Amino acid sequence: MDQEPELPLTEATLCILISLLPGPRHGYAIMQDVRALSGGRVMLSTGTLYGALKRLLEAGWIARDASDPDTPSGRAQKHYRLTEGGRRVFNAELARMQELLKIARTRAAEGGA
Amino acid sequence: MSGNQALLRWLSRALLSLYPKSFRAEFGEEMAEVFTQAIQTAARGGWRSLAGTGLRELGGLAAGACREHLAAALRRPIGGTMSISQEHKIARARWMARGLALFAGAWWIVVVLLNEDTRPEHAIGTAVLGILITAGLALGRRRERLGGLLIAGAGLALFVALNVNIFVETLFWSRIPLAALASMPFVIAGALLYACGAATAAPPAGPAQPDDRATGERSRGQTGGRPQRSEIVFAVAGVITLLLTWSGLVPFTMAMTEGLLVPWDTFGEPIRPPRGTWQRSLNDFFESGVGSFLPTATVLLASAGGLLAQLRAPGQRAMAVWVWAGANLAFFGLVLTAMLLLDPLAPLFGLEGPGYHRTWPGIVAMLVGLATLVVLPRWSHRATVPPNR
Repeated sequence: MDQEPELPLTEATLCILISLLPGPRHGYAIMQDVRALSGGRVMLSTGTLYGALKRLLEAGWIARDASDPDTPSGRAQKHYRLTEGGRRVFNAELARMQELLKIARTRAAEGGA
Repeated sequence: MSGNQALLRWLSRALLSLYPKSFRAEFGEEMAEVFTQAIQTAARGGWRSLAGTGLRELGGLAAGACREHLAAALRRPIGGTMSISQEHKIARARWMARGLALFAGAWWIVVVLLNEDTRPEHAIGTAVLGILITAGLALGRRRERLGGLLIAGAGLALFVALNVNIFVETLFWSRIPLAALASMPFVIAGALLYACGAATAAPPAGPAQPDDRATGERSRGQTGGRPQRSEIVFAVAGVITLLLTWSGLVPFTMAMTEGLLVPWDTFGEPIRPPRGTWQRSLNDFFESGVGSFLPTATVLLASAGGLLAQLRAPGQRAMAVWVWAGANLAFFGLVLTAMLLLDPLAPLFGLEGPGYHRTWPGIVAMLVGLATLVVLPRWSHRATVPPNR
């Protein structure tokens, strides 16, 4: 069962969800993508990444798919993908951020910033 | 793969082994794979890049292991034959036992090393203790009961060694009650680890009752079935620990009575307050006769009386013994911590010379400790026994 989202999401969680928006990725690809999409500001370590993935799996926001044997060691590597629940959470967070941005812009305009 | 990468991989494997078993089973291989990929990519950027990534990764793994254990310990109950709640209680107890053994071992080593009277045989004895504790902890990862017995055995060996004066007689630990205090953390840690091993290894006694699942309790104690060996060991270890705490409680409160309530104990008439003043009356009352035993008797009665009252009520009696032993330890810890923190402050406020103006923080700490001794086990009892029992 999907868990109720606690917004705002942490930056690591949000970055992982953004990384999975285009399609499924395996762990290392998520790490690299998060680093790239944040301009090198968010660098997830393996421990942080898998802790976050575990909680996202438990919350039902992402799912894990079949193995990919194409790894340096030839061992299995699993793909993670966004679920419908995860997409809803992401959209809710996006709407929250947009609303906040709108208010901030209005206030900034009023203040002449 | 270079030697540096091999070393990093070895360290990452070691840190991965610190994660909870269920987490390792689910993500362990994948994490090892991702770690390898991360350091291989970093190695292409030179040694600085490899060192930076390696440190970040290892730090992340260490922090992640702590986080996952904490998350496991704090997770709420969701049911099951052995409920998740109970499983996490065991996990929490396991880490408490390991932490206690490590802390007490480190404390002991530091005390011996810092003592200027330490002789070679003291260092050898401490090294043996350290090896036994380390071996117990390492063995306990796979064979928890055996590891627990080894740690408890190390504690008992320390108790014997201190009492036959072959160890650190210069550290004024050579009296039985104080030796009991020094060795108690190891006995408690070992017994706790043994109990964790027994709780996870023991097959369920039968189909669990719905009520039992909901509360995370086992039904054996209430159904009158024969206790298992692990339960007997748990109860006996609890009684030994309780006796050790009581044997420490007597000299401790006697010393505290002298130190806190009889501040002019070692001073002659000219220094003592005049007769008839409340300070003098209080000092003289606690200095000899009934007064000198009164605080000790009060503390012991509070501890023993409370335990007896709890043992008469239905519930987990073996656990009650452990809870009261824990409350006794909390009493020691609270009073000692208060004394250590408050005593050095007195000179800063110009509170020189003997008198209650210096000892009142300790007296307050003793009273709070006494209140804790009475209240803590009752709270614990209410929290563990369901209201319908």
